[in-house]
Amino acid sequence: VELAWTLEMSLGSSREDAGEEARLVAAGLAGDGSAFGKLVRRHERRVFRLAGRFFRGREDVEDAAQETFVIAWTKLGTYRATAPFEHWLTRVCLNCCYARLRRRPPADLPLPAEIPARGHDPDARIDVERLLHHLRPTDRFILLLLDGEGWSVAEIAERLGWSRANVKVRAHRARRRLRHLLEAAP
Amino acid sequence: MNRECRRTRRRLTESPDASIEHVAGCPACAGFAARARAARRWFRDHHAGVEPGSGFGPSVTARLPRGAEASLAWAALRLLPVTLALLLALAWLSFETNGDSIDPIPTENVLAWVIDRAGEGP
Repeated sequence: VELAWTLEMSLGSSREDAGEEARLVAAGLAGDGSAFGKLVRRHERRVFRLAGRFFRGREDVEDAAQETFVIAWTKLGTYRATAPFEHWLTRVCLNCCYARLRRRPPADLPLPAEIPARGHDPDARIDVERLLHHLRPTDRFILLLLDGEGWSVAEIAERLGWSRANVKVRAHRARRRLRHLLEAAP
Repeated sequence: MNRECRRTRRRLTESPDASIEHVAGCPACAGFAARARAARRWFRDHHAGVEPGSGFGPSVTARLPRGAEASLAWAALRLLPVTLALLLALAWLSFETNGDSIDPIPTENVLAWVIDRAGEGP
């Protein structure tokens, strides 16, 4: 009985939450900036966590998060309430991060010398971070989703709005470049 | 590097923790496996660890374009293909119909007149 009561309570609160969110989205669509501000506060941590995967510096993460919310505001009309708002926002954030990474050239650094990794596999005897900065930013993006977030090809395709074939091709190319890089390392 | 090394490295890039017999007897592939494991760990652990500050929300709302303008621009953009299609259809109709043989364009019920003309064909 206690379990059923707890379940009922949590279902009730999540329904209430979804209702409140739908109200905020509708108000945002009508041009209410303060309602959208509440949506920002609800989701800012999640967006920062996701953007923090792809960028290192605070400024980059903040810029990506800001751009995500500004794009979300201008494209709020495309949100269909058939899926949770956070799924749609995740897609906006991922595409925003990807677009920012595409504009970046790969790091022009010499290949790292054989030095012990800090906090990484001591057997590798290589500074992995510096090595991986030779990957194209878009390759790092796809590998971070696959190996970092642990998402499958189907999940990435769904969350980014890409086709599965597109994700597979990009993942294959990224892995091939990673292999070449790992082979070229001393 | 032989064919077995290449096959092993392809597998290790996908699954760095895979247990492959060849690695034990090949120092070059053992080094590759260690680097692949370190790379996998980097992908798993990499995070800027940045949290939003208290001023983040207000800074976003300050940057938002005005609602009405944004909605109007978006609506105009979405209606652009429909507008173009209508213009093309009307242009085609006026090109195809002979000016002498057509009835004068009515001032009322224009849509029925357009459908009527289209039904007559060239």
